[in-house]
Amino acid sequence: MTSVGKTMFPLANGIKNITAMKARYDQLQTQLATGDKASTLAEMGSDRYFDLALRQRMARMDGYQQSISTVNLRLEVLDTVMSRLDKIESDARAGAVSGGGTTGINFQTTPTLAASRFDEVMTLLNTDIAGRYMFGGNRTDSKPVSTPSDLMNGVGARAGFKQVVGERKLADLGADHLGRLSVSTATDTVTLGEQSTVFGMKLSGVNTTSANIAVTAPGGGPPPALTVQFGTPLPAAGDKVQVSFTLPDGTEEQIVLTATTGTPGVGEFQIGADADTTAASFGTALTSSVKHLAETKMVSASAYAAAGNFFNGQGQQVMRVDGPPFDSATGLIAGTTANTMLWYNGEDSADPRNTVTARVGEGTTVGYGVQANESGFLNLIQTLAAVAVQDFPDSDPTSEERYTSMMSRNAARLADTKDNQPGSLAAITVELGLAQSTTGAVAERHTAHSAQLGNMLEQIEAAPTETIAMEILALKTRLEASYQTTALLSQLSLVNYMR
Amino acid sequence: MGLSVTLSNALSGMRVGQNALDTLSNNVANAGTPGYHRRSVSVIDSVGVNSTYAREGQLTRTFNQSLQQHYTRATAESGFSSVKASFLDRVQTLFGKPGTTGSIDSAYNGFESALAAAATSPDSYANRADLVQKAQALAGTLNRMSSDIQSLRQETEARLSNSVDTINNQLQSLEKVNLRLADQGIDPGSRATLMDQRDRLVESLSQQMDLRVSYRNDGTVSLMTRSGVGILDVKASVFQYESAGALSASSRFSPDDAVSGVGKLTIMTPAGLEIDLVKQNVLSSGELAGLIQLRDQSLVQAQDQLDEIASSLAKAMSTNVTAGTQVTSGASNGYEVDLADVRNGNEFTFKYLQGGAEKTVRVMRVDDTSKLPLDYVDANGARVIGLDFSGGTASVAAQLQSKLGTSFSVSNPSGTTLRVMDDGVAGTTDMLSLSTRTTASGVQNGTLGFSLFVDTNNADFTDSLDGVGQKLGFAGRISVNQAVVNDNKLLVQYTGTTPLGDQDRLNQIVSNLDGMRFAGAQGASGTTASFRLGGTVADIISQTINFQGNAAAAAISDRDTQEMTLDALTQRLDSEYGVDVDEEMARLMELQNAFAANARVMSVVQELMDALMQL
Repeated sequence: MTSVGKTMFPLANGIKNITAMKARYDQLQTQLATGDKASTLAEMGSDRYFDLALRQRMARMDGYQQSISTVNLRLEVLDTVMSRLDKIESDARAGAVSGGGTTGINFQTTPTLAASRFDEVMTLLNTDIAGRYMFGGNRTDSKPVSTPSDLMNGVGARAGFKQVVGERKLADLGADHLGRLSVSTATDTVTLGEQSTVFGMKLSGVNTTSANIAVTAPGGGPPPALTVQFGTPLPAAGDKVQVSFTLPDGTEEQIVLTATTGTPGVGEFQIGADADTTAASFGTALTSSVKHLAETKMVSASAYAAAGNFFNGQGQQVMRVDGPPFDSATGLIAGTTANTMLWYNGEDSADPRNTVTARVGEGTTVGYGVQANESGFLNLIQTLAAVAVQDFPDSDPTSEERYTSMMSRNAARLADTKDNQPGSLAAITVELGLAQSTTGAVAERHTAHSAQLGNMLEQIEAAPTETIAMEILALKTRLEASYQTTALLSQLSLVNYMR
Repeated sequence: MGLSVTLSNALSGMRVGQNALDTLSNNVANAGTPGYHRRSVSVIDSVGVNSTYAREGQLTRTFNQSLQQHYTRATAESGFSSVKASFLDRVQTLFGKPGTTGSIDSAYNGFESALAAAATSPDSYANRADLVQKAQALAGTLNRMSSDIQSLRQETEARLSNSVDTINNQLQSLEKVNLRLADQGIDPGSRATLMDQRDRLVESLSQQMDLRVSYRNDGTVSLMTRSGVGILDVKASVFQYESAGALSASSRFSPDDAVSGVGKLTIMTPAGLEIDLVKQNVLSSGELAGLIQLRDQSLVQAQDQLDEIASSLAKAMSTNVTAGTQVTSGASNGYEVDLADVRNGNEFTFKYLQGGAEKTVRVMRVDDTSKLPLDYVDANGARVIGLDFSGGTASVAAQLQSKLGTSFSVSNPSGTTLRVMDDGVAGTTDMLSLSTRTTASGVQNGTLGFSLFVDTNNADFTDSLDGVGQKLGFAGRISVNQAVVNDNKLLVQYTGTTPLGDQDRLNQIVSNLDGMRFAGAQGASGTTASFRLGGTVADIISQTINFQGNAAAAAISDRDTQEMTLDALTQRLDSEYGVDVDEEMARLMELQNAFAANARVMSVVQELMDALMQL
């Protein structure tokens, strides 16, 4: 070790100082070159802990910035998709005009348009960024929704939407096309009753303008029924009986039957000689009216109901008619992957936004998960699908009424008032926008904070160039003086002066 | 007669002059020899035969005992501080300057960034693979640092062994020198040379250990350590070093020879008494003491701190925290929790309010009963109690009840459930929470925690205290779970059916690294005031780096101070003992003249006698 010198002519103190100065000179040069005050951990001194903490915070902030840029990219893509979907919805809403148009052209174009919009919506919901699907909650590695054509037509033994709609139509109509209602006339009373089944039309009320007709509200059973009883005096001409029904999609429709003395037309019944004949006539009119209602408006409603069954929402299962036979089916059963196409394969969570989160700051997390089975998408899909499978041939007398009832339902379902429900397209867009603004604000904070930390780190670590340069200059002077004096002193020996 | 007196005067003058010239030439020749003490001839007048003034020259050697003692002590301190500084400097190079590649803090920061990126995009294969790679880099850094520290310890053993050989040789030489010096019959010149040799040997020995030197009148020395163990008194003691072979993290010093894993340094006195220098704490300064302190304290502490980092890292990944359910019974509130998953080394924690202050108790499962009773306060202020779980939950409840006293009521209502209730009406305590911290078993068993970092052979790290404790040396064994390396989807999929976009497991790891606090174990390295680590994983890493950097800086500055002191002393010594060539040259001129004058006197006397003879 160098503490005890064993070498010949060990360094005199003056030379030791020069060596120390030279070492310091080299150290200053290194500092100047690297820009760092300290070159090893030990040299950092009491700033060490602070330096460590700063570096850690800066590394963390870099991590957050990276997360933010990833999240921003995803949010932008989501934003684009959402605005396109919104446009589709408003186009569909605008296109829901009633009336066949000149030469019934709308009957052909509307279902085709609906089908192509449906295809586009499904494709948009399968959007992916570099293989990460955005609309399936946290199930990002597989497509959230199935292919539109497969969904419509089915694959192999798995039923598609068209099949499900057809089955539901049969179940709702019943074999006799009375919408699963039965009309029976007994002497002076006509009874209109439901069948014990979930399908078809349900009675919701009855009233009359005539004091001579006794009506009983739907009740009794199950299944409930209503009665219309005729007595003396017989009803006058122009007296009306109104029966209200609830259709399978939850909408309400009415039938009004007017009494007439002459030959009854559509929606009229003849006042006969006595109560019995009047009742009989009433029964016949009721039957034909109910049949008409079933074959037109109810069929449209049935399509929407089937859409609701097939395109299930959050927490619900895919349902279809339990049968065959379908026209006498009484209930729904859940569809399985073996026999039904399941339209949604993503995550089903009650809180879709928080299925995908990102940590963008200390204690700041943004949730930007979207599920394709949220109410906004669901509504749009169900509406489009129901229209897409419809067929309005010119030869079918029910086409026009079916079309009109379908379009009015369309308009109601796609109305703007639905925007304030959670999960609607507008609500989702707002929430995603909120996430984007949060990340933006946090990113700004991080940039400012990072800059601050960087400054502090530089203050600790960086060697101040001016101070070092001054020190080098001063040291150079001292070193030169020391060298000079050492050289002079070495000459001053008596030996040199002795002869 | 007058002439003969003149002659003999001249002769004695010349003789003294010759002696002086002799000495002077010796001085000049040895002007640069290290350890050479300047000699001078002191002249004594004495009345000789024929009433001539015969002058005797006596050789004196410059020697200042108090300065020499001072110097001896300073060399010991300097040796101690310089060996410590050189080793600790290397330790801090191991840790690396913050921000440089290869330093432990940048490895950890890289791991955290990769984790954050993976948590944002768990479905990206690239992010997961990067995370695994950063984890491996972190584990690798810990492994490397641990093995480097152990090799530093190995080096101290090698140096101890070398030093012991050198010391023994020097003691043998010194013994011989002593014997020669005891013989007063040697001529003064040789005597002075022997004393120079003696001083050189003492100097070398004092660098190795702290000596107390007694200089006797006859010039011999006797050496003792400052603590009073004799090293040399006529006969030299023999130092022995028994190496322990390869050192690993578990080779620690223990007063019990059967357990001690490090080398043994003993001294065998001539009387046959063997003293263990480390056990008896004989040496307090010098290189030997420095090496021993490094081997048994400084480097061990560094290893322990690395182990703490490794253990906290592993536990942050694999710990599942299960909160207890609240239970009310009468006026008492409390919690109950299932202890079925608590493995050896795991613990359950409860917090309560007492006297307005929030207190924490950690109860650890300790299967090795030789470690019990265990009851101490950790670095975060929590009381740690170790209990034996082998008697079932009922026995755990009973043991805990007896430890806690009457302010709590601990019971085992059924199965493996433990219930801890406060004292209800008396109101001195209020239970705040009860939870278990268990190590997850398996990688895909439905819990969010999983063993990302494992021990050798993919064994789970449960921090059990069995044997020497699983934590000891863990930094050298920590590695990434092979199952995760083979299939990095396990980073995300905590059950077989978890979708790849699920962020729960990765978010849990991030929040654990942020919030889970760990505390250094009790008495981590043998010194009572040992620095204890506490806090999150990042805190522990920063504290360790800071501590080691600090220690290295302190050691380096200590060495520099000692060197300055030594330099000042050396300067003093130089001025006292050193040869100033100018002085000698001046004296040479005078001696030359004196010699010439004496010779002239002699030749004049010769002429006079010749003239007399011719009469």
